[in-house]
Amino acid sequence: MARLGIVATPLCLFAASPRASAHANADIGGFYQGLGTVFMHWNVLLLCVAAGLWIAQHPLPRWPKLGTTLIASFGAGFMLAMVGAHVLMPELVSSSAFTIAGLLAAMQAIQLPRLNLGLAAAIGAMSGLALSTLELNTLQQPLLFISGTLTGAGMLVFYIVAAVSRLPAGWPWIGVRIVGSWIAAVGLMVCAYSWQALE
Amino acid sequence: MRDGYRYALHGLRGVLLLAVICGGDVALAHTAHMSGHGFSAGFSHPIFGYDHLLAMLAVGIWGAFLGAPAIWALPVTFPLVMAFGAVLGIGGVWLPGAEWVIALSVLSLGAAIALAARPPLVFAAVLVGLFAIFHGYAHGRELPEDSSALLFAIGFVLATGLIHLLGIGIGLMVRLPNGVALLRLGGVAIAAAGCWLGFQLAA
Repeated sequence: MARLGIVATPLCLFAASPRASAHANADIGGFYQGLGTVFMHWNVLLLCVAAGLWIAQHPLPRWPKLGTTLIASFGAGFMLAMVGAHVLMPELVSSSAFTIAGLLAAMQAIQLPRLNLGLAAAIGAMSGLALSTLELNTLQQPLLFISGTLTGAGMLVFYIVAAVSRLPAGWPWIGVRIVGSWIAAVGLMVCAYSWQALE
Repeated sequence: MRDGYRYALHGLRGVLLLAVICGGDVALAHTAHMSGHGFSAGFSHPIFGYDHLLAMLAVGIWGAFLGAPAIWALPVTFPLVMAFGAVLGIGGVWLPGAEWVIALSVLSLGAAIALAARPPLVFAAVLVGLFAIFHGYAHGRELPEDSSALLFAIGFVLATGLIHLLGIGIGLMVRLPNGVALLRLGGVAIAAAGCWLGFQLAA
């Protein structure tokens, strides 16, 4: 999986680079906009970090399933928004998604594979739907934006999983749970502030 | 003994880190960049409220005194419980005598360190959790105008966690030859500060 990442990452970046796009007919600025959204949008960034910390706590064979489910449901959330679905309180939904991911990272991984897959799908879809409700109307190239966002989110989650899984046992793993609890605490507060702003 | 010095050095590094971050905040106040307004407001909240600062330091020190699993269970649960308290404050739930409980928390946690108390983990966790709710409640009601809620929350939780970790770093002085006596002396000072807070409220 690490080898695949080493090959896939430069390939994705090269395919989307200005140099490559200069030789094509399409303007793919939307892809970079989507890629940047993952790092500029705090809600998505915190979701990816928390999800990476959570997925890394599972045994190695379950990583691809969980990671793929998360990213696929994230994309499904976008697609739902493109066909007209939207959420009423996107900030609240988005914050709830990374709160749940943070809580999952703070608790030791629950060994219930189907439940974990369901949770990964739920937080991915919530976040995708909330982000697209916020952003989709302002986009000129939504499909490129979505592919950029999914690539960025996938790479970030993958790298975090890879980095965390190499940590030695003991304090570093306690640190992983502490960071998860901090993300969940931030999420709880943001949910409350979003709720208060609606009233 | 070498381990003790190493842990004390880690504590000192934590203090320096906090000083650099706070110093950066002060420096930012003299520039035109206001993009981090919410973050700096949230970050400075737990640091410049000395009642909160003392209580959170005391929780970390006490956690180190209690040893495993309290030393790692408390930093995982404390920010979450404190955030829950903040949610109560934001939601407008009325908690009676919050300031009194905060003063009591400083006094009790200081006393626990001074007496080197080692109660069962459940008792310590419930006590710390109760105090964390009141501390979070007091902070949650105070989101400044024109601040980003998310950046404020990130700053607030980060500062809380760092102070807590700093407390644990200081608490690891128990491994030094005279560390326990020094920490118990520190506990007396924290408890005295708690008494002073109580007198101020009564006056």
